[in-house]
Amino acid sequence: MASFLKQYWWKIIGISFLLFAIVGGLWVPLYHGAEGLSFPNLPILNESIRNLLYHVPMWFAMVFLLLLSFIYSLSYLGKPDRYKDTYAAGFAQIGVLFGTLGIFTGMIWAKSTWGAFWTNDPKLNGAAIGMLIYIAYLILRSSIDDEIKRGKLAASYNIFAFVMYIAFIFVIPRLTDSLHPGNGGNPAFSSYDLDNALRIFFYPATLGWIAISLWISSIWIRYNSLEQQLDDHDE
Amino acid sequence: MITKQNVYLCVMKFAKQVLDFVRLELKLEFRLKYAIAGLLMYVLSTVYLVYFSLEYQGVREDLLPTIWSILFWLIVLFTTVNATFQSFSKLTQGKMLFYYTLLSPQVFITSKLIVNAMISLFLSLLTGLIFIFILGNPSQQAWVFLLSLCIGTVGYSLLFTYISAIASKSGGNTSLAVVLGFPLALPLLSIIVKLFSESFKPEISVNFDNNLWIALGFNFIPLLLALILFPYIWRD
Repeated sequence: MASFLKQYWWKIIGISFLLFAIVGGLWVPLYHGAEGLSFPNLPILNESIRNLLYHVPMWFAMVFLLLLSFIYSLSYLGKPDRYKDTYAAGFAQIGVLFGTLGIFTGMIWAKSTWGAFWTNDPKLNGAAIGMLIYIAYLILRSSIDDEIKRGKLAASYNIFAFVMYIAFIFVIPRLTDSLHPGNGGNPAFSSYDLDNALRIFFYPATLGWIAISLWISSIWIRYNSLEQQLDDHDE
Repeated sequence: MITKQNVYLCVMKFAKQVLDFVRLELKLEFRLKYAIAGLLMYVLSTVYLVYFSLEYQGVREDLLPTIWSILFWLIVLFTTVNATFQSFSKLTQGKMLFYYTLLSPQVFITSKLIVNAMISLFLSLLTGLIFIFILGNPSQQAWVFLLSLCIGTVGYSLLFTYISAIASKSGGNTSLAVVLGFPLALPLLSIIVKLFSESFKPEISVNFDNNLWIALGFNFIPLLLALILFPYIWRD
């Protein structure tokens, strides 16, 4: 993993995908009867359909980072090693950052389409609980001084929380209606994702945001491990 | 060699150890009366606070069943956190070392889960009784009321036993257990409140079975995770 994170090729691909998606996503017009590349022009959504290239991939990036954090925690419990703990913490922190970005982009979108920044929607509640869980994880980390103890307890909480959280986000949307596409009479995601113009930009945007999130995490993790080494040096 | 008989013997030995330890824990719990008395006082004073504030606002007479159940589950939640956290925080370093040499982590955590479930169940049944006594009984189906109360309370105690183990190991206090546990308790809370409110209607709805299985699932997951993960944090 460490050697993969140091390589350049995926960062260049990620940046170019993201530039392509951002520039293209703003440049392509909505459908207005004319021929050529255009995004679907749907009632209510209107121009805000372009947010699909930001909001949704940010959640994907968050889930990706939290999954990586979970895997590092599992491997920490299997064979404790300091770098695994640093990785798990770093991925969780940047995951929370992307979750917050996802919440804010979603709130702007919700305001323009549903009329309110926050609605009592199972997916919104799921996202809020997820954020609370990972902030609690970071609080737990900061409350322990001893390094080995912190690694062990934080890893076990991370695993416990991740499994509970996954169970939760799979179960809760089935209990009540959601305003999100594909739930409660709303058009399913694929009915406008199927639109080829949007798809050309959505997939690169997803990969691009995931690559960027990984890049930010790798820098953050390197910073943290350098700081740890400095601390050790001082002692 | 793994034969049927060996497995049987192992299970029996495990069950016997767990039973012995549960008995010891309960004996200690009732010998050290201040712990259980403190929890009882916690329940009584919280319920009295609720009663007093509702009475003072003049809304006790026509209290909505939904408000009843929300107040009830919040009190049960806080009582469970306190009860489970106490069961770990009163273990001194020496006592832990003693158990460590004596028991396997699985025996220890299983007994803790059982004892905490018993104590929490006792406390929440008591809370329910006092609630019915002072705020009226909104339930029309007693079995739904009791079933959801038991499943909810046991689920909370299973979840918070593990969370308390983490919180007390990290040297934190009850508020750390609350911070760590409440986001995780929300899913179960939302389902249990749903199940519980079924008892306010004359008949259960079609979704009842479905929600019941989900609630049981949320009891099972923390149980399984606690059994798997506790051996890793057991040693200091």
